Amino acid sequence: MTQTLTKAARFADLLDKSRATLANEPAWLAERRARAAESFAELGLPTTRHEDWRYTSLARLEDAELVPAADNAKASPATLALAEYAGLDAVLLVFVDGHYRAEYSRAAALPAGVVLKSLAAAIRDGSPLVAEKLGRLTKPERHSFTALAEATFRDGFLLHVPDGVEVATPIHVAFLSSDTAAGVAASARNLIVLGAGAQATLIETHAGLGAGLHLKNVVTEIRAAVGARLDRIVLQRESPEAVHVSTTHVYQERESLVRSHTIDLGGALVRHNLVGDLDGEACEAIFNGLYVLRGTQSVDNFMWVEHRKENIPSHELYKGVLADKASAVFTGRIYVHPEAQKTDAKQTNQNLLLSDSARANARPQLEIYADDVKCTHGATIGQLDAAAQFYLESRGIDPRTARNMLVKAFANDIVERLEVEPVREAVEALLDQRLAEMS
Amino acid sequence: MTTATKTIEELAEQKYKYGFYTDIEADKAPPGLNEEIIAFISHKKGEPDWLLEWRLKAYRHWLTMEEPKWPKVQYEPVDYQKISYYSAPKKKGDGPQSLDEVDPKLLETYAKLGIPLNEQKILAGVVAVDAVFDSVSVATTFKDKLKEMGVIFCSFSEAVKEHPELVRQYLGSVVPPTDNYFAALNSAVFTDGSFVFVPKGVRCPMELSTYFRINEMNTGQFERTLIVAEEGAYVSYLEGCTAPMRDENQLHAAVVELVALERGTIKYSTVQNWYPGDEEGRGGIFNFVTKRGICKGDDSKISWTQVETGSAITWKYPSVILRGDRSVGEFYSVAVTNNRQQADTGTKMIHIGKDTRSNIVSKGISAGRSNNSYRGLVQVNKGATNARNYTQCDSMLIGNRCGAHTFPYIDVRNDTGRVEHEATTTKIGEDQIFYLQTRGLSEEDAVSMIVNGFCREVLAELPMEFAVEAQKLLGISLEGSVG
Repeated sequence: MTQTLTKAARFADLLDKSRATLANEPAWLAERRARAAESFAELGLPTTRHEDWRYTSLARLEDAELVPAADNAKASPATLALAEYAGLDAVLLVFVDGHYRAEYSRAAALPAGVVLKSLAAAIRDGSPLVAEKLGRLTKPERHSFTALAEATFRDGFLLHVPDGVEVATPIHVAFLSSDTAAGVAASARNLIVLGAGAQATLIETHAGLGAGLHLKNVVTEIRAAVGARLDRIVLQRESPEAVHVSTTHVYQERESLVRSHTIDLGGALVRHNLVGDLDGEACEAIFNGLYVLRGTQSVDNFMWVEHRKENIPSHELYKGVLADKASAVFTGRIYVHPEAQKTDAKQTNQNLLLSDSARANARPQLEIYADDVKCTHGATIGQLDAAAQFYLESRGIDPRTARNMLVKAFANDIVERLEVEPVREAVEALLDQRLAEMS
Repeated sequence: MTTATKTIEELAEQKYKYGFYTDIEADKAPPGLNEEIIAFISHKKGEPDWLLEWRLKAYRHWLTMEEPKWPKVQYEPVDYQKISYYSAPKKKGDGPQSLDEVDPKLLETYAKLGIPLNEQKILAGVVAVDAVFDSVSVATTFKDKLKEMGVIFCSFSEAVKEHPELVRQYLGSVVPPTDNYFAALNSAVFTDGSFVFVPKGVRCPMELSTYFRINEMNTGQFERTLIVAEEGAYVSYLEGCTAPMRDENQLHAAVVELVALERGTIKYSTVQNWYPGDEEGRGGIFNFVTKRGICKGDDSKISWTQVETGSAITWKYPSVILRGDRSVGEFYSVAVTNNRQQADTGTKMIHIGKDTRSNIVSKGISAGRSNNSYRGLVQVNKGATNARNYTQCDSMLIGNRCGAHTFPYIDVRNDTGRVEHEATTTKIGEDQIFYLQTRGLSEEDAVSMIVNGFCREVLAELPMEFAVEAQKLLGISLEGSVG
C-alpha cells in the first residue's frame, strides 16, 4: 500500500506542478480541469488488472518522477529534421514537448475561413468553436490519460475547415520531443472540426531523439460533419525510451469519410486508444495501422468502433511485424447498435513474429445487437511462409534479403494506402532502415 | 421425427417438456453454507478425512474470493446462504443394490426424460448411463460389463469409497480447488457426479453417459466429474441435463476434470437443456460450470462438444491444456439462446507441448431478447514450438432485439506458432429462405433447415443418438422466434 501511495503522490505532484493555467483561461476550462484532476486522482494509472490494459503494464511510468515540460525547450536541427518529408509541400505546425513553437513552424496560404492554429492561442482569443466543441467526445471521468491531459494540457492544435471548403495543401503537425525531454510529461489536446462537405489531409508526426523516459500524452477529437472527408496519417517515431499514449475520438455524421492510418516505429511503450462514433447513415470509417518493432518495444492498439446508424461500412486492418523481444497488443471492439442495420464491419489483425521471444496478443471483438449485418473479424499470428522464403532463396537471393522482401510485402498492404506520396516514400525508407536493424 | 419436418407452429406450442417435478421424499440439508454443512455432506457420504479437509480448505479459500463480474451476463446476486447444498431422494434401507430396488417413482422420472435406465430398453446396449438426481447418483447401468474390461464407471461417491487412491491422485489436479469462485464453491460442497477410469490400452466399448436432473426446490447441483484415460485408452462420454420449471433461479456449479495420458483420447459431449426460464426471464438455471481437460501425455487428445440450449445463464469455458507433445484439443459448440437467456461461453486452449494442435468451431444463434457471447483464449507458450490453432466463430441473429458477441483472446509467445481466428455474424439469409421456398418448403422448414445446416459441423461431432436429440432441441429452443 505504501508503494501505491507513493506512486499516487508522485502523480499528484505532477498534477500540482502542471496546473498553471493558460493565459485568459475561461472559467469553463478551469472548472473542467479541476474535475479532471479529481478524476485522475480517483482513477490513478490503469494496471494490468484493468481489462482494457491487461497486456500492457505501465509500471515504468509509475516508477518515474515526471515533471511538466518547459515552454522553451530547444529542438536541435536533427530533431527538427524529423518534421521534414522530402518533397512535401505542406503547412507545418511544430510543437516541442507539447508547446507550440511559431519559430519552427511554417505557414502557407490556406483557403479563406480555414483555421489552423495553436489551441492555447484559440482559447486565449476566446474561440467560440473551442468553447462549444472541446471535450464533447472525451470521457475524462473514465479514462486516466484523458483526465491527465485535460488537467494539464498547455497546448495542441485546432483545425477548423468550414462547410464546403476543400483544403488541397496537406496539413502537417509535428509533435517533437526536445533533446532534454527526459523526465518530462507533456500532454496535448487537439480539436479537428470539418464542416459539411469539407475536405482535408492531415499528417501528424510524433518524433524525438532525446534519451531517457518521458511521457507524451495526446488527446485528439475529430468531428466530421455531413459529407466531410478527412485523410489522416500518423507517423510515430518517438525516441527509444519514450512512452507515448494517444487517445483519439472520431465522430462522424452522415456520408462522411474518415481514413486514418497510424504507423508505429518508435517509442518504448506505445498505446493508441481510438474511438469511432459512427453516428450518420452511410458514413464510412477506415482505421488502419502498421507497427514494425524490435528490441523490447511494445505497441498496444485499443479501438472501439460504434455503429449507430444504418448502412455504415467500417474497416480496420492492423498489421504488425515483431522482432527480438517486441510485443504487440490489439484490442478491437465493433459495437453494432440495434438501429444500425446493414452494417458492414470488418476488422483484421495480422502479426508476423520474427523471433521466438516476440509476443502478440489479439482480441478482436464483436458486440452486435442488429440482425441484418455483415460483421467479420479475423486475427492471425504466424511467421513468414517458409515456402516463399525457400522460393526466393532458390532464385539466388540471400536469406536476409528474401526475408526483408517478404516482410515489406506484408507491410505494403498498409503502406500502399498512404495517399500522401512524400510520406509514403519516407515510411518506405524508414521500413528499410528498420529491417536493416533487425538481426 | 427430425426438426426439419416439424413446422415452427408445432414447435411454438412445444414448451419446456422437462419441467415436471417428481414428488419424492427427499433427504435434504437445511439451507445455508458453513463448515458444519460441509462436514454434514462429507459425513453423509461417508468420506475419508482427507476429503473433508480438502473441502474445508476449498471453502476457506472461497470465503476470500469475489464473484466474477467480467462475463457479459446480468443477474440478481445469488444468496449462497439460501441454497440447500444437499438433497437426496430418501433411501429405503441402505440404498439400492440393483435397479429393482430403485424407487419406481425415480425410474418413472427418468423414463419421462427419455433416459432408459432399464437395461433391456437401452439402444442395443451401446450406452451405459449414470443418473444423478439432485445431489446423488441413483443408478449406474452396465457396470459389470464395463468392469470386465477394467473400465471403472460409477458415481463419484462410490469412487471415493472404492477407488480412493485414484480419486486422491486426480481430484483437483486439473481444476485446483482455488481455481475460480465457482470451482472453489463446488470443491467445498460437491455432492456427486460421475467417475470414469479407463485403464491402459482399453478402448471403452460403449458410450458412457450421465444424466443430471435438479428436482428439489431451493437446491443447487454441484456435481463433480472426473475422467481419466490412461495410456492408449479411449472413452466417449455424454452428459445431459434437465430441471423442473420454477420461478426462482437455481444454481448449477459443476466441475469437470479430464486427464488424458500418453495416446489417451477423451471425447466429452454435452447436451445442456436446463430449464431456461420463461419468456420474461423468470426462473431458470444459472449454469456456472468449470470444465477443463489436460492432455498430459504425448499424442493424447481431448475433444469437447457441446450443445447449449437451456439455462437462464450459461457461463462455461470447456478448456484443454495441451501439455503433451503432439497433443490435440478440440472444441465444438452450438449455443442457442432465446427469450431472455444469456450465454457467455467458449473455450481456452493452452499450448504448452511441441507440435500441439487445437481446433475451435463455435456456432452461436441468438433469438428473442437473448444475448449470446463467445469468449475464448488461445495461448501459445514460449516452449510450444509449431503450435497450430484454427478458430471459427459464427453467429446468427434472428430478430433485432438480441445480441451476438465475440470476445476472443489470442496470446502467442512463440514465433513458430500459427494461430488463426475468423468470425462472422449474419442473419438468416432471406435469399436462402426464398430459395428453399421456391423448392416447395414452407418458411418454417426452410428456417430450421438453415439453422441445422449452420450447426452441422458441430452436430456431426455428436454421437448419433445425441445428434438427433440436439437437432430437436435446436427447434424447441427457437420456438416462436421466427416470423
